[in-house]
Amino acid sequence: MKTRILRFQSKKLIWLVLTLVLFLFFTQLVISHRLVSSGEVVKKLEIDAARLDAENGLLKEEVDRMGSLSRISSEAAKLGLTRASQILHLTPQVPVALGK
Amino acid sequence: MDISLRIKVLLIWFFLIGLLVGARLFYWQVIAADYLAAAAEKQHWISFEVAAERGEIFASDRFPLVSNEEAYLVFASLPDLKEDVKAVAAKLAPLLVSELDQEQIATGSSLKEEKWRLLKNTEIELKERLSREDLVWVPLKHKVNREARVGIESLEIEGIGFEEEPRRIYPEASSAAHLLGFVGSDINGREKGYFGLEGFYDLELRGKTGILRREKDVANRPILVGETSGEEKQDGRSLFLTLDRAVQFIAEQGLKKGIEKYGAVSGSVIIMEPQTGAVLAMASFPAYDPAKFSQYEKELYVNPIVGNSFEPGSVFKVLIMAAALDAGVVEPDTRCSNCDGPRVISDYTLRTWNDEYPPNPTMIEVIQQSNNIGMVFVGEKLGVEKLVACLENFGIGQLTGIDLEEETTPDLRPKSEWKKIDLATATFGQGIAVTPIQMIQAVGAIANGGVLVKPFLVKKVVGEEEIVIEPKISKQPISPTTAKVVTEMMVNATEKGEAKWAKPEGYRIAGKTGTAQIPVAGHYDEEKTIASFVGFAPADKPRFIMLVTLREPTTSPWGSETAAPLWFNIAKELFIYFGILPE
Repeated sequence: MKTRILRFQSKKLIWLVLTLVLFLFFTQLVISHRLVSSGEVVKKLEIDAARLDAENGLLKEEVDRMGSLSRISSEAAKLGLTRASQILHLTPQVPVALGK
Repeated sequence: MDISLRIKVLLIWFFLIGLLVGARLFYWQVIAADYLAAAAEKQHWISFEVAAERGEIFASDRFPLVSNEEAYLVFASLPDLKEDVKAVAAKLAPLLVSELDQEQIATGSSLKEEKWRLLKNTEIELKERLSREDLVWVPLKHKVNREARVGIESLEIEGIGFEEEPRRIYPEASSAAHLLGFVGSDINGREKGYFGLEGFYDLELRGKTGILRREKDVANRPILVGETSGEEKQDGRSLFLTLDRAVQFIAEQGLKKGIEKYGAVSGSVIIMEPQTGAVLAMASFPAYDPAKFSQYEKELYVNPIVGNSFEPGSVFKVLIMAAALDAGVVEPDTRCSNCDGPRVISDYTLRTWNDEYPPNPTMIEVIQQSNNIGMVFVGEKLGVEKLVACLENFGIGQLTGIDLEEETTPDLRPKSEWKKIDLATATFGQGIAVTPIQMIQAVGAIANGGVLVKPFLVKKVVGEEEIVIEPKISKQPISPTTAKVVTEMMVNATEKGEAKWAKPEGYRIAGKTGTAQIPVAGHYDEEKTIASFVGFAPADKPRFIMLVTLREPTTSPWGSETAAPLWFNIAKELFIYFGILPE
């Protein structure tokens, strides 16, 4: 009777250990898979960040190029803008707005 | 065989095998430990340099004068190169031919032969680099643009890689080139700033390259929960200038037109705030394009405003007159008693510029007429001691300390070496040399109530912290009263002097023309001159001081007919820009 109980207990122990081993094995599989996936996600995010940085840089270059005074001056000339030949100076002493 | 003998043999075998295993372990653990650790680390870690971005340079309106654009270093990892070296070189050469060289061909000639030669040279150079046996990593081309990278990537050559290596761009093209300087390489191939602000502030601008180390998996991907180490990169600090982009544009456009109109060899304009020394504009022609500096003569790299000296001529008279008035040796109404003809001093005959000698002119008239003989009279009253002391107080013969790399100064002759003729000629600005920046700094003291300020360009350095640079007062060479008197003399000279025809109506401008002969091999050139005009406006509360110099104008040798009208033309635009109303 005692031997039977011992056998039953050792079988139970083996099953327990086996279950634990299997559980740990699959857990490791899942975690490894997640880590690899996360690594890929990180790499993709880094690529995206680099691409956005590059695009920002290009946009900044374009804004700077468009804002250069030599360009504005040549564009103004193309639009037919000319230098003011007669300038009227209004002084604060003259109450122009009041029409006096 | 006896069983005990067999056991012994087996034991000996075990012992020998154990010894071998032990020896091998000793080799791995002790002798090859470092190598294996490095190999394991290489397999386990990915590390790369993170290039620091060079600081930018901004005008006073925060518009970038110098910025960085995306560019790459193309390199080859030789052990990973699978294709034939010759074939790789032939594929890469058309994409790596220098953009600058291509431009040279395009602008010079469209000869197919020239293009072919360039392509072949690039191919040979690449082949040589790819065939190196002493290296595993070789740089192939620095600072290639995005298009070139995309082109190379599409070739799918194994072993060819890229590293980020931003390059300088200049949104305002060659504007203020002399002032900005350029970025080249030092002897180790690392970026280094030369000349101007790039040279002076190189350490601030360059920053520090970082190193990033990360654990990686077998596919070279970073491990999320892995370790990360290394040194953080430190981007360079950015400079914020006192330079006003609009004023710079006005000065450059005006100077370009002036040089063409008066047929001058070269010219320069500097505009400064007299109260603070803040430089608003600094332009010189001929100039160069800092993005293509290697295509220009090296002589052009030096900013003539701080790096070249000249004999100032009559613009110098205001300093001598200020010194004499401050020392009390003359008064504005003191009359020159020996101005009725040329003067002979130490075998040299000194004349006025027009060989006219109105008798007994007052000091006011001496400046108005730009009378050389009258100035000799002032110099004799002043004497060498006081004259040299005053020039030293005005900063002549000393560096101004402006934040530009190539500033130089001609020496001021020691007091003991001054002869009678040196004293006489120095009073009208000949036989003495100054740089344009020294000249404007000295006259700036007259505009600023007698206080000399240090000229400067950078008002703020911004990095991990912000450093604000305050204006610096240097000294007070003359009293506020003397400064006021000399200002009135200069206003009178502008109103009634030779350049009065060009002066804009309604503005009180204090100014002085200058025409200096150019010394050539021990004598003065009979025909060539340096024409100049220095002045500030409005005279009573100056918003700006400006110095214009034209070298060898051909339409007229005189400053009153070349530099002065150019000065007034630029000033007219500045009056509108600054909102300065006529009186």
